[in-house]
Amino acid sequence: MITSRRAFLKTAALSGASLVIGFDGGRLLQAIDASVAGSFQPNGWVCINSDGTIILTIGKCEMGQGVRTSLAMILAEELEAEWTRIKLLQAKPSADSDLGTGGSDSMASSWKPLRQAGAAAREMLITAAATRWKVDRGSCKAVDGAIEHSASGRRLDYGSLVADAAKVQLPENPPLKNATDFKIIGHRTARIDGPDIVSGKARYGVDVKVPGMLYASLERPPFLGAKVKNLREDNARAVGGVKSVIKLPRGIVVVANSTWSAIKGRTALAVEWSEPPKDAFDSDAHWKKLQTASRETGFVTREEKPPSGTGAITKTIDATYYYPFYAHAPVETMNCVADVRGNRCTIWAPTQAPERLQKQVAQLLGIAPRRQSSDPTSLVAR
Amino acid sequence: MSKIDFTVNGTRHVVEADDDTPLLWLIRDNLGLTGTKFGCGVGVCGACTVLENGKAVRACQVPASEVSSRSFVTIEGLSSDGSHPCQRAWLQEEVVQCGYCQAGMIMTACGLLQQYPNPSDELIDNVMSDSVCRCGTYPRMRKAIRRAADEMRTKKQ
Repeated sequence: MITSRRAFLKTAALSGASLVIGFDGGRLLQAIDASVAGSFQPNGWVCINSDGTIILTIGKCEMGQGVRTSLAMILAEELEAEWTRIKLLQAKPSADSDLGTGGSDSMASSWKPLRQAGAAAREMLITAAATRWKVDRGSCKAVDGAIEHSASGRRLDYGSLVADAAKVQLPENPPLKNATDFKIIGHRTARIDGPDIVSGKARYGVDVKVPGMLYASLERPPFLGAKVKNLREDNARAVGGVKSVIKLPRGIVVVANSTWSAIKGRTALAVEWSEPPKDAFDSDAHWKKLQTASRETGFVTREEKPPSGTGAITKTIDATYYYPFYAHAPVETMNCVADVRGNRCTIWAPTQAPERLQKQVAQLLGIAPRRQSSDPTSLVAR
Repeated sequence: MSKIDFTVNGTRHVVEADDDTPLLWLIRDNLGLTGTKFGCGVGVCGACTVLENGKAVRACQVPASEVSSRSFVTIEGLSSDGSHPCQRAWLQEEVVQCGYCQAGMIMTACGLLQQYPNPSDELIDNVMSDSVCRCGTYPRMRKAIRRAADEMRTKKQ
């Protein structure tokens, strides 16, 4: 299994000429530290290679919120990196990592660790350069992907320093930049994935192809608890390319050798569903229930006092907001690709919770979601 | 199964497919060009829009039986390096969010500009709102289309 940790250690093992720094919420650690192998399983890591490329591996999912760009911005700022040299890799889940993306917390939870990782790398690179030049490290400065010694006009780019920097003690509390010195954070920065998107190169879950793969289309019931009254299973099977029809507790799947055959087979099922029961969930009834509940005595979940110096209240806004049950309805249809071979399964899925997916699929298939590191099998959600 | 003989991005292809297979799946599954997206399959969302003689066409609505001898351009064929005025304007105006609908949107915009080199905001809104962007990038798309239109007209002069 390629877990975050394994990939991290693998990267670390190969990092003879790289500087690798792993981080999670509270800890920041250099990969080559011996203690890494025992306990540290970072959620993300930064790798600076000898060719000057900077790889940020992080588990936050891009779904249009621009997180790949904003996280790279934080790193680039503290690292004094050339913006264009930063590449992002999606971390793969492990049983112990926490790669979920949700609750609008990506920036809040990554802000400090990413700044610390960037700052630590910067300080180590400065030390490496100062040692090589035999000058006071205070006279060296990180500028645009290089360390400069202005007194002698010398300059070394990060790539040429990583081998030495990797041997420098990781600073526990590297100094962070003052916000007034920010050159990237707070400034308009183009989306890292913009060029790929406008040229059709960006790869989405639905674009994944595995040679010889089959395609499935799933007919879902129109409401919870709906039962199949009637379906034309034989008609579906008669569609060219359809391989099988599988009934699930909540839906019917048509499997075929092409997307179109699967869609046609599903249409041919012509499923008739049972009528909703009288006590089925009803949006209007639910709204009325909420309205009634809102008039009962409740409790305060959050109270904010105006900051001192705020003037007297001149206007009071009284409003009611109703958030109905909406279908999320993204244009990209729900999709997932699974490649199951023996006791190994690889999943490609546009998901905010890769670990949850990994665990559930592992349970379903009876495969351990995380095996011993010597056995690189099981699940990879991407 | 029939032999379908058609051109995509200047390259001739011969593929075997059922007559009712939509062009969208010929492009995505047979040719492996995944820039053209599947959204609704019923011609409503616009994610699968491609160009034919400069005109926007919804690929999910063209059956294979009508595809032979026709020539289409997908997002991959719009330019070799992302330099089409619409692609560049899209980046300059920072249009994209999740990006899933954007190939279809860019192709739709190209179709619009081919027919109306100087479209009004109202026309842009009418045409673009016919395709679905769940991120709501419509105001930035309008700006990008105006920018691309200006550039394309300046070039022609």
